[in-house]
Amino acid sequence: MLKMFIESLKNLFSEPATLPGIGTEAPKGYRGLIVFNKEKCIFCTKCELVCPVDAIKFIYPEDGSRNLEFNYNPFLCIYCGECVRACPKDGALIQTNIVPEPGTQEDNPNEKWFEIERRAQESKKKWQIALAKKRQEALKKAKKQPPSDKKGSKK
Amino acid sequence: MSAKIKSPWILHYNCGSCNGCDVEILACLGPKYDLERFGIINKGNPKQADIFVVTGPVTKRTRARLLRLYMQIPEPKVVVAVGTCACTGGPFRNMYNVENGVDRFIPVDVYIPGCTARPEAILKGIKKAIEIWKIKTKESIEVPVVIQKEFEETLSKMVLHGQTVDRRKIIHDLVNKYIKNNLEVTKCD
Amino acid sequence: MENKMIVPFGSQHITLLEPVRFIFETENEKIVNVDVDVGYVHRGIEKACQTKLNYKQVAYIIPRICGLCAMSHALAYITAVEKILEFDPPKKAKYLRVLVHELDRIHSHLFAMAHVAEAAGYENLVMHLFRDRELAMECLEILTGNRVQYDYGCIGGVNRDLTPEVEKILRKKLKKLEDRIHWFKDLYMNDYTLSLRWKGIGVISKEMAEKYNAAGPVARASGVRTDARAEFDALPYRDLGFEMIVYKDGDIYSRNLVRLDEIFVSLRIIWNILDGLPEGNYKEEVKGLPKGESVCRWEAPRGELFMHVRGDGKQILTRVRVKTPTFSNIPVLRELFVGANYADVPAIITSFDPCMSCTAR
Repeated sequence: MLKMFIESLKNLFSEPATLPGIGTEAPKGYRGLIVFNKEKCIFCTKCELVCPVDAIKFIYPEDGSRNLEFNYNPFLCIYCGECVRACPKDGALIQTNIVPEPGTQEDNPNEKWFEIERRAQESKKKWQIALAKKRQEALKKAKKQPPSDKKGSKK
Repeated sequence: MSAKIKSPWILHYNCGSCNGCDVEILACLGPKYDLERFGIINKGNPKQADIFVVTGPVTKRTRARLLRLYMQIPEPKVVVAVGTCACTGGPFRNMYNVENGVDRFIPVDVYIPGCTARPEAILKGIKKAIEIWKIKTKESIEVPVVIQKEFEETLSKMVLHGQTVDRRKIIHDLVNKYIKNNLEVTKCD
Repeated sequence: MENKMIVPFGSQHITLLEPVRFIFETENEKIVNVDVDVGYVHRGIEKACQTKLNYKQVAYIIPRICGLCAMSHALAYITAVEKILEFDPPKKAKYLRVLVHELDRIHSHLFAMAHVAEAAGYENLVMHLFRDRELAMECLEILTGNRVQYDYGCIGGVNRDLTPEVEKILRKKLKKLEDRIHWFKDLYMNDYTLSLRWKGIGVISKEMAEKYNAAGPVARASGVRTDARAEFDALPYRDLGFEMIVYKDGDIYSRNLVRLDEIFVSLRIIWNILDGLPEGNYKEEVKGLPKGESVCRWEAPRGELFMHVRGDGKQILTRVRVKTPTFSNIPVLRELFVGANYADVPAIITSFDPCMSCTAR
């Protein structure tokens, strides 16, 4: 009992252990928020396949081209870093050391994400149908061309 | 109200989480990130609490206790959801015994992301919650999401008949009926 | 008419962080019968590992069974899968895995000791323990990137390397921690009021521990010599100076001393690693899909952990089964309650150090 009393007296006159204010910044190697650079991405969708919790969803366009829309939910991500390691291009996905900010009722993280998942699933089916149609038309064009080419080269 | 502003008290409940976020909440009440200098104590009594701190994705056994604790806290109150599991279900989303997130049952005011949430983020979130709490009064009663439809029907019927409306009593009766009919409550809960 | 009274220890309680329900039947403050209900935390993880996740994604979901024994679950799963694929990780990766695992054990034991002191009513000691536990958490944050739930192990090695600046910071903080633990041991052994509350209460004899198959520090405080670190060879514990700690009395006082001495052994292992870290890669690529079956025994901070993995040559495994240490300790807990005083219940529960989210996955 006397030991604890002496230690408490010593702590009364030394500097406090509490951090001032709301604390310090995160250290350099902290695993924080993920940032996406649209210019460097090649839309291979490897990050969507590797994520263990499905926090990245791509919405496909209607015409069969490769210009996808990137959606990321910071309230569902577990900050493991697998998507950054799986990306083949250097600099498209970066893990910074920013601590994610708390949100309020206006952000609505749960209901909005159910809506995005539903849209992503429907748009993928339509995109696959549009892509198959494009490929069939390209095949038909390639079949028509060689007879007309042969006539041109002979002449 | 001005006497209560300087000392909001906390009630903490774990709805099925992995204990990581609860360890960080206890570390916030320790000496390095000190929440007690804002006047906050963790007492386990719902009648003496102002802030309700919830962690974990809601499993099917803990639904009834969550609703009952929410109804017993007196107004004005705020709800803070700590961790990705409480916001959207986290890594356990769409597993067979899990309802995804706390805000499918009770109205949430502040969402704090992170797996696990850093103590600095918890301090920022609780500071935001206290600012939202200062504006609320005794009459700001919010309705749990699961009984929203029936509450509006009962309210419109009573207004039509010209009876006096006591919102708190209507909500208590409807929640008790919901727990008895829909949530399977065993002998021990 | 007997004077029996039914007292519930409900699912929301201030002593424990987790939801668990006991219903006690008492007669004049002595407990006669107990009804135990664990299972509030069941989420259905094993079924998801068989249907939705491929074998690489499971390594990030399995440590989220429990936040305090996170590294143990992850490493047990990774070792079992590497046995099926017949892959031997590089030596530097093995040493780094032991380093993070022993730091995890230190902070978990300090947390458990703080809970026991809180149940005894000594809040000053709780705050001192929390302040010194922060030194271990800062070390972990600089090394792995997060304070709890470090996603550090992966199939083929570890995710990050130990650089020289990080090593300097680690040595400074761990030296400070070691001096403080000497002060705590002196206090725990010689304080008069604490010994009145902890000596001779909650006694488990050696026959009772062997009959009901207790595990972890609970068994080692009663004289049973069982520790999975001395018996498996997936990690090089024998070269690093590991020693088993056994006490004889079996009450709450001995369990505290077992945990304190294990912190000293862990610190000695960490000094040996920092002085003799081998050269080489920290991660290699693994080819092939898992086909076969394997089993792995591990030592979590609370006892013996057992993992069984079976695969069929595809991306998704067919069976993953986990047996956690607190699950083995619950029958002993129930036997111990019958005949004890009702006022001793919080001290007994916190000295067992239960982790309910491990028990009901």
